[in-house]
Amino acid sequence: MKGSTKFITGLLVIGGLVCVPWIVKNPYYLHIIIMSGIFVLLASSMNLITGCTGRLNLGHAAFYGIGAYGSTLVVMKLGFPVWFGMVMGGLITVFFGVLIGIPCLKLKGSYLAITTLAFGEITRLAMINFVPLTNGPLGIRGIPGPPTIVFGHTTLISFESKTSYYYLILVLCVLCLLIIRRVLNSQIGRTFMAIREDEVRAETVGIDTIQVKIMNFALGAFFAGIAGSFYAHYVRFISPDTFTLGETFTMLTMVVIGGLGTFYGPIIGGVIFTFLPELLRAIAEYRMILYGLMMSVAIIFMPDGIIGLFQSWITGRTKKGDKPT
Amino acid sequence: MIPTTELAQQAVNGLVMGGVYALIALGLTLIFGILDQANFAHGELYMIGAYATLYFSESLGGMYPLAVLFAMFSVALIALFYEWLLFRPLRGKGHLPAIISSLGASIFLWNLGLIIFGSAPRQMRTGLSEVTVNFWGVSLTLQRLLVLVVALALILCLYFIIMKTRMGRAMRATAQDPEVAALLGIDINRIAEATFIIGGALAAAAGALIGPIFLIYPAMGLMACLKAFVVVILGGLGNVMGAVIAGFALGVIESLGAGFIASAYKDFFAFLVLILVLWARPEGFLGKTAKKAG
Amino acid sequence: METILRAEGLTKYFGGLAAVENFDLFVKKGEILSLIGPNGAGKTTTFNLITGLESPTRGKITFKGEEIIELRPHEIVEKGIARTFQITRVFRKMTLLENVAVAQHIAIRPTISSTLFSLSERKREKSGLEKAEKMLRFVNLFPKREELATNLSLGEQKRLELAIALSMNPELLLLDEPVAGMNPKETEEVIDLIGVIRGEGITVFLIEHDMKMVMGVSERIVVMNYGKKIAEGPPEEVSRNPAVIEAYLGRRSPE
Repeated sequence: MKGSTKFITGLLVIGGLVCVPWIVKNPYYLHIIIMSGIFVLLASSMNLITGCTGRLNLGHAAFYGIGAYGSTLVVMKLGFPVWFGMVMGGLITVFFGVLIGIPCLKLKGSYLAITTLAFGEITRLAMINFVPLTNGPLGIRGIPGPPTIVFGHTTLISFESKTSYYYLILVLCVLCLLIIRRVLNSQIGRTFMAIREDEVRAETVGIDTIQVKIMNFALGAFFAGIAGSFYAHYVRFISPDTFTLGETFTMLTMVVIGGLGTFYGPIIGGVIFTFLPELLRAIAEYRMILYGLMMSVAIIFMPDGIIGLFQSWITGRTKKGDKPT
Repeated sequence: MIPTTELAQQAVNGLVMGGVYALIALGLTLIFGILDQANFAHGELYMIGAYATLYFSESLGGMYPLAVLFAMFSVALIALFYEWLLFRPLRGKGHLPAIISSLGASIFLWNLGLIIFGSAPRQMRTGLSEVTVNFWGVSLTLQRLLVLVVALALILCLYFIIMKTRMGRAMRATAQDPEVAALLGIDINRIAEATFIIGGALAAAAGALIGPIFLIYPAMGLMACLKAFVVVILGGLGNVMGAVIAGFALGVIESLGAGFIASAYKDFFAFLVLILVLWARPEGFLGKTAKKAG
Repeated sequence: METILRAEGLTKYFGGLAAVENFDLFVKKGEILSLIGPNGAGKTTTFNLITGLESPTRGKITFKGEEIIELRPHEIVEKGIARTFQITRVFRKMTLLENVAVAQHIAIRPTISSTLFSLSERKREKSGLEKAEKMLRFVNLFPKREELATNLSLGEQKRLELAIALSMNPELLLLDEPVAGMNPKETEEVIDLIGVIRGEGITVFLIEHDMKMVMGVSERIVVMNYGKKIAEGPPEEVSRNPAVIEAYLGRRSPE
């Protein structure tokens, strides 16, 4: 697609998305759509670390949780406004992303997978046990939503209805995805791929792999943290049960099936696997069985995911990533 | 002052668990060393081994040893399927795909186990847990003693297979240099199958032995797999002796830690040890030294 | 001519085995120097030591007067040394263009904030891509620039390695068996390229087994065997050196 065609298509898509709340009136369906927005962010953030750079982070749900708890605590314990809290949620997660990323620098493959898994579980343990801070397994209730936006005496946007939250997550997604897209198409995006292909070789073409790997973790952590912050102020209740290994596996399924290392892959994966459980309500018990099966089958038969299939169908050959626009 | 008999008791209990960890870790480290692939579904072999022993012994009306053998045989077969379905198609494609494919299989299997076996934990009775042996102030149930004895016996068997048989030599050759091994006419597919069969049998034995001591439940493979990975990392990927030593060591550390520090956090000693060791030596405790650039 | 690279007493043990032992070497700025020797003589290890992939057990290496053994490989690239690999190590699932563009890293030095906010960075990226295209044209791979590197033949991969190395703007270019596995026509092309590179003022230090190529292209040759230097000098001298002849005839004959 040429640049101008892409731009117009993008505008049309966003235009369509803006109209959604007028079409979908059922608050439950709107909730699912909002959750899919959150998972698009989560899957895209995981893709940065696991897909693009090839470093399997099995503790990604921890970033999600740190963003949620971080924002909540900044707002409820320190009394800051919600908008500030949400930004802080992202930044706090970046801090932990770097903290966890540093010992992980020398690790790869299974070592990295197990260690990140360990960090994820330890974070969950911390959420359960630091009761004075996190209220333990009971979680934190009554988290305030974003304040009503007023202009003089007119209420512009009130965050009492799902519609406002929908627009908020839409804005967040568009902003974050634009940033991710820019990063993936940039020099840094290429260094991510180089590290995935051959880390030692990357070092010998002048890439400071330590610096890039930390930036990569920080970036992935940031977007997961933002997703977590939004989640906290949307659902208004968080508990350690939300940020489990199972969530990480779900995110991994989204990225793998969607397309590891691609831009659109996690978006598609995020949407599909948020809607799928609803469609599969009848066989909810079998959901994880299906996910596991799909993940294994996908990595063997369609390693570039749905996007990969799509691209090879179009171009007749397999490629990873988007061309620079 | 910590009473020495208390210490010894915990240590011996730790050795028992260590034997189990070593058995599971051995299969994992063999797969790493010989095939350079990570099997994240290894814990499920352990879990299926436990359930298989349960079902065989129930249908055989007791006869625990026979049930164990049947279980080992069945799980070895399942491990063969692992190799055919999950790993062979991905050979040579790097580390990440095999991790993901086996992760998917793990999710598939333990959730399938939830459906088939139900989430309620089961108890395996063998009568051996009733009898206790005492020596030097330490008491062990016969079952626990059996775990230790059988674990050591299997480890010796493995040693014999690897060191003295032709297959074992071929495995070692492949572990050292797969390309040269192929040039020498060694069929990597046969080696892979043998490795998985052995790994599966050992993991099944671990499950069969531990079943009567603790409860059996479908998710038991997850924590076991995690700990097995810790053991393998500590001992060095592919290092058989390292896996044995690290397995027993982890068992003892866990037991002492749980006994004297905090039993609620028992499982997390493994993580703690892992993070500390990897911080100091990213190649693992007994592993090979990594080059400067990684 | 000044010395651009100097190695003194370079030693590297792997376990009990000395891959390189007490190796002294100097490379003059602007020359074409070849390192030859039987297989296993320690040549690639020497390259690895120079480029920071291995740490020497003993000895030191100075580049333009600066000691470089403590430096990480990417820092050595920044100093001005680039290398190709004997067994090609291109980034397989990236396109040719991406392969070369990624090596512009030291010229662009991106960070997250500069990538997102800096306009000059976008300009640098654009010129980086242009430079990458230029390099691909130089090695005659421009038509395939959107192909994945894994689809290239061996000879093409070697040329890609060359393009990648050149795009790092090196002053010293280390080529590890640049024509291994190539037919005579391809070899000729590479020799021409090396001539042009040298004409740009880049010092070329290469490892090769193709004796015809080595004798034709080099101004000076260093011969290694069992990790030690056994001869050094202009091609005619070295080819008549008895120790060199023995090393080769004893193990394998020159091509």
